[in-house]
Amino acid sequence: MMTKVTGSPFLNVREQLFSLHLSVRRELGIIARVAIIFSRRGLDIASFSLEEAGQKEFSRITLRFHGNSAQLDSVCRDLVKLVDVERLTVDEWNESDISSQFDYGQRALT
Amino acid sequence: MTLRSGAEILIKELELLGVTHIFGYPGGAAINIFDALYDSPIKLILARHEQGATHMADGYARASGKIGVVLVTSGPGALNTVTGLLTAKMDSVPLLVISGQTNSGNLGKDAFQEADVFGVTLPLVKHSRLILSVDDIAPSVRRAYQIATSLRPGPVLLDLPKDISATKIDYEPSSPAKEDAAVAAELSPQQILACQKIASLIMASQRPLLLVGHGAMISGASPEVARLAETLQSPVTNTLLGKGGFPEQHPLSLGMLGMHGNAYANYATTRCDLILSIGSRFDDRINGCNERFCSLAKKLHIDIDPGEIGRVVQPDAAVCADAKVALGEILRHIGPLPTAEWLRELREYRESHPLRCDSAYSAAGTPAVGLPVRAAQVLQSMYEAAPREAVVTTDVGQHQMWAAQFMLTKAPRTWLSSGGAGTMGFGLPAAIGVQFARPEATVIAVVGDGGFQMVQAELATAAIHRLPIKILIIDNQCLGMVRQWQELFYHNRLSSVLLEGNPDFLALGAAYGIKGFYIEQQDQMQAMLQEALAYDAGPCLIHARVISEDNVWPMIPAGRSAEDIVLSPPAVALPMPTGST
Repeated sequence: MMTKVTGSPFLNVREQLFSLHLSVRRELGIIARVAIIFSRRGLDIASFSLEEAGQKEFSRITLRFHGNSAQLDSVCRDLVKLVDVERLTVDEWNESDISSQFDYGQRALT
Repeated sequence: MTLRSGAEILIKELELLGVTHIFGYPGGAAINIFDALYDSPIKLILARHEQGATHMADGYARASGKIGVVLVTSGPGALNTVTGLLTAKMDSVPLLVISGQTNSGNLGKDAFQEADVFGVTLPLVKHSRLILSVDDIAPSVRRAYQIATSLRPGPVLLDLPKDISATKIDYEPSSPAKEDAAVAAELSPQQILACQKIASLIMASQRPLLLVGHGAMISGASPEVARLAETLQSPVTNTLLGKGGFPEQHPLSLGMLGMHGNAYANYATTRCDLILSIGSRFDDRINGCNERFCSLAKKLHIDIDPGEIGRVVQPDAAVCADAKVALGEILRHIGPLPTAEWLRELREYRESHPLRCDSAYSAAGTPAVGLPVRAAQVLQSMYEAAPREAVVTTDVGQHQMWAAQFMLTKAPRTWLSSGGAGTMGFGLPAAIGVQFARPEATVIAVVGDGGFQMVQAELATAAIHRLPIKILIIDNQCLGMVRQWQELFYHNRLSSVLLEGNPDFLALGAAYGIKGFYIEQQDQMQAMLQEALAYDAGPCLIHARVISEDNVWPMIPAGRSAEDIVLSPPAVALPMPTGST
C-alpha cells in the first residue's frame, strides 16, 4: 500500500496556533515519539492530551503548538512517518476560530 | 509440545527470515541469546566494539540488499550502537539491532548495565520495541524485519529483557508469509497519472538532467535509469550515495554533483531546463542554496517516502512510488529528445573544466622519481589498478571526496560511504561486512588516518576471518577536511586538527599478523598497489603517506549555489560560508 499525502499547503510564515489530531496505535512510547518530533526542532508543545479511542488498540492524541506554516509542514512530515500513527488531521486557528481543517495524510498499515 | 526459550525463538525466527550472519558482542543481559546461537547455523561475527559490529551489519546490508543484524548486550553495549543507528537511518539502510536488557522487573531501578535503550534510540530508528512478553517475540521479529526492509528502509531496534529471553513456552516454528516484495509492484491510477505528467514534462524538455540518488539503487532501478538515459539521450548526474546507480564511466554520465562534485555536473544544474530526481532527497550537499538550485528547470521528483516530496524543493510534478516501478511506467511514454546541442555544450564545458589530479607520471609516461604523493593520485592509481567492480568503502573527510571523484563507480552496491551522518570510522567495519556478504568481491576500504584510528580494533575481526580486504590508509597526518575549512575560512588558524602521535600503521597491522605496504613516493605507487591487490591470504594495510596541504577542489561553499563554485585554490580569502557544514 502506498501512502498518500494531501499537500503541504502553507506558504505564509506568520506565527499561529495549530491543533493536531492524531489517531495512534496504543504502543509503548508513542507519546515520547510524538513529543521528540517537536523538541528536536526547538518547538514547544502548548497542550497535549491522549485518550483511549473506541477500539482498545487505538488512542487519540490532541496537541496544540504555536508555530509557522513551515514548522507545521516539517513536524507533520515526521509525524505521519511514525509507524504507529494512523491518521493526522490539522486545525489551523485564526484568532479564536478554526480557519481551516485538513487531513494531512492517511498512513497505510505496515 | 515443544518448549523453547525466548532466546531460542528469537534465533529460530531469524533463521526463518533467511538471516545467515549476525554481527555482535556478548554480555550478561544477552547471554541467553548467545547461548541459543550456539546451536544455530547462523554465523556470529564477533566484533571488537559494538559500533564496529553495527557498521559491519550496515556494510553487509548495503552490499547485499539484505537486512543487517546486530546483537549486543544491555547498557553500554547497546548504547555503542547509537552512531551506527544514526548512520543507517540517514542512509536508509535496513538494520535490525537486538539488544539484551536487564530483567523486566529491574527496569527503572538503575540495575547493573541498565540503560533506557528504547528511549535513547527513539529519534534514530524507523521503529523500535521493548519486548515484555515471550509471546511477543516471534511477531515482533517478523514485524521488525518487515518494517526495516519495506518502503524506505531503515533501522529497527528490539530490546529484550533477560527474563523474557529465558522464559520457555510452547512454540512451533512456521514459515513467515512472503509479503514484502509485493508491496511496490503495482501503481495506483493516481500514481500512473503522476508518471504520465512526469513523462509529458520530460518530452517537452531540450536540456534534461537525471539526478540519481541512493533510492534508485535501493529499489534496483539501475536498468531502468540506463534505459531512460539512453532513450532520451539525457545526461545523468549522481549524488554521493547514488554512485553506481548509473555507470560513471558511461558517456552520458557527468559523475557526482554537489559541494565537492564535478564542475561540469554542477554546471549542468545551472543550465538544465528539467531535472528529474530519482530517489534523491535534494539534501544540503546537493542543493546548497534552495532559491538558486536548478533555477531554469522544471523539477520532477520520484521518491518512495512521501515525507521527502516537497520537503526541500517544490516539484512541478512528483510521484510517490518505488523508483523501479515508476520508471517502468514513465518509460512507456517517452522517446528520444533532441539533446545533441545540450550534450555538446556539456562536453565542451567538461573539456575546459576537467576534474584534475596532477598525474603521477610525467608527459613521457615515466614515474616521477622521489616526489611525494598526493592523496588524489593514490586514489586514481588504485582505481586504475583495481577491478572495475571492486567494492569501495570509505570513512568521512577529504579522502572520501577524492575517492568519490576519482574512483568511478560502475555497478550498484559497490560504493559504500556514510553520506547523511558523515560517520568517521565507517570504512573499515563496513568493508568487513561487505566481505562477508560478498566473499568473492575485491573490497577496498579507503580510510583516513583519523577515522581509521577510531575503529582500528576491528583489524582483529578482519584478521581472524582472513578477509582479503585492502585497507588503504590515506595518511595526511591531520583531519584534512576541518583543516581545509580552517585554512580557507578561519585565516589558517589550525585548531586541533594535527594528528601528532599517529602510530606506525604497518607495525600496528603486523601486531595483528596483517601484511603491510608502504607508499610515500610517486614512483612506488603503481607497483605497491598492484602487489596489494594481488594479495589475498588475508587483509592487508596499505599505508599511503601523502602530503598534508592538499585541499579538495572543486568546492561550493556551504549555503551557496553551483554558480559560486570554486574550482582551484583562491587567490583571495573566501567569505565565511552561510551554510552550517
